[in-house]
Amino acid sequence: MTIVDVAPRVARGEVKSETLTEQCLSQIEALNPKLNAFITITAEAALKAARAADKDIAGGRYRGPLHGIPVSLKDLIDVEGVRTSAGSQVRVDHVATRDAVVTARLREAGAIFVGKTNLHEFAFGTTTEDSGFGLARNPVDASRSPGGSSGGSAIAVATGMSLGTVGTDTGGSIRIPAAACGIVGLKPGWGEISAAGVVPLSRQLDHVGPLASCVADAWLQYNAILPAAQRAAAMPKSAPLTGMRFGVPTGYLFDRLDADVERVVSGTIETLRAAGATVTDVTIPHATDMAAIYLHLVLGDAAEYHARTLLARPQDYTPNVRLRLEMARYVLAEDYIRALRGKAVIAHEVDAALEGLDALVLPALAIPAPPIGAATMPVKGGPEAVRTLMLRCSQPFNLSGHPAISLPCGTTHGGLPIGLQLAGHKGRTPALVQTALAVEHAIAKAG
Amino acid sequence: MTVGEWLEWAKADARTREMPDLIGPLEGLAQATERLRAADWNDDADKDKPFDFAQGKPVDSAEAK
Repeated sequence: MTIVDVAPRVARGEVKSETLTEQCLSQIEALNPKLNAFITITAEAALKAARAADKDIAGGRYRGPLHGIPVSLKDLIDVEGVRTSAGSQVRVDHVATRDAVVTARLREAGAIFVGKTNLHEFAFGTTTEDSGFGLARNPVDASRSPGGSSGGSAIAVATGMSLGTVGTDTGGSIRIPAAACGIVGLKPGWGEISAAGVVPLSRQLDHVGPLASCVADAWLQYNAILPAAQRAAAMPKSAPLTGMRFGVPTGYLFDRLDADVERVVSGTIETLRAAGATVTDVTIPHATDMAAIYLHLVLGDAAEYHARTLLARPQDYTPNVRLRLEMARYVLAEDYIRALRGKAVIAHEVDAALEGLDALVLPALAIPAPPIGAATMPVKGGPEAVRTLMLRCSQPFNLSGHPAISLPCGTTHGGLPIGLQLAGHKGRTPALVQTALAVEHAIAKAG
Repeated sequence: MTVGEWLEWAKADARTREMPDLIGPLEGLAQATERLRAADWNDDADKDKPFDFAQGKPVDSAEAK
């Protein structure tokens, strides 16, 4: 079920918000014991809000396409009166005293909050295995990771536990789980969506954005969490692919791919070409330096945020996240500054690569969802560390701040989802969504 | 401090803190730091080659004049 399909029926009173909310809560009750997507379930408050939404809609006070729609929030986003755990026992007693900005905007749009979703502890990981509330499992294959850090959010949407969700993305944490679970994840441009009331990992790399069943649903949520003055009155219309121009950033970003990911993404790029798009190769000259830049920035920023609690309550972190944070304390200031300069270099190079193009096209995730506990995965060129592989294709656009979206484009021979990533120009996220709508349509048509 | 010196200091500190599990991650971080320090955008006090962000490469001082 998609928001874009059901919202008009809610508006007409044909479908009740209470019914939708009950359906989501039933899914949570049935699936959460196995998949562990939710840390907190706010059933009572959700049903109360749904009944109020139904009353408002019946009374002619319809607020728009999210009115009465059950959504979830990654559990590092504040909801007044509800615990914000950030997936950590460090924050087990933290109850938010006010809504985050995105929560307030969704509430204003009439969305119904069914609960807070599981995540890799403090968003500091890509698998949602290291959570203070237990690991989460992929809904397609429960022996595998759902990706992360917004793993619970992706599971929630993929299984109908909520119709939409909002997560965060510091190195790929929206796009990675979206790709691993077969849904859409939109990372808007840096700073477009307020991160006030969101537990940070790295304030200069963190992005807030939606995960959704389809591109249109991602747009509806994105539009609702923008500042009021920037919201669009209507969704961008899907344009024909004929005449669209895509760039393929060859080299580093295509060097270490799983064989199925390479096959499916290459096939999708051919589909775009066959549909009339122009596809050319582009380069990001310092792409090989991106992992080193990213690592020093995220470690430096996380070390600052966690300094006090790491000293006072180290035992309350999961072992792997604690180890990463302990390592972070050794980053030297001079190297952090080098990384800051490198970040600016990457931003310029992504701008240059996009010149004259509508979007860059590449995999969202170099590998399919990895088995839980896997340290390495086989890729072209030999096995490589899971964390490095999972960040490889997504982190460029956290460093550069460009908007990027992941959408499903096929599956492995074993049926695991594969995500295609499109990255667009800064300040033009609606244009990127419009392009993504066209690509989504072409992928569906190609079957 | 060279990366090698930094790594030896960090590993010794990790041992003092009885955190031997940190040594592997610190060695990985050292490799990333080597890469970062070798990048051509870094400033250097005895060279006159500022990095030109628009061109994506260090400015050749002859060109700059």
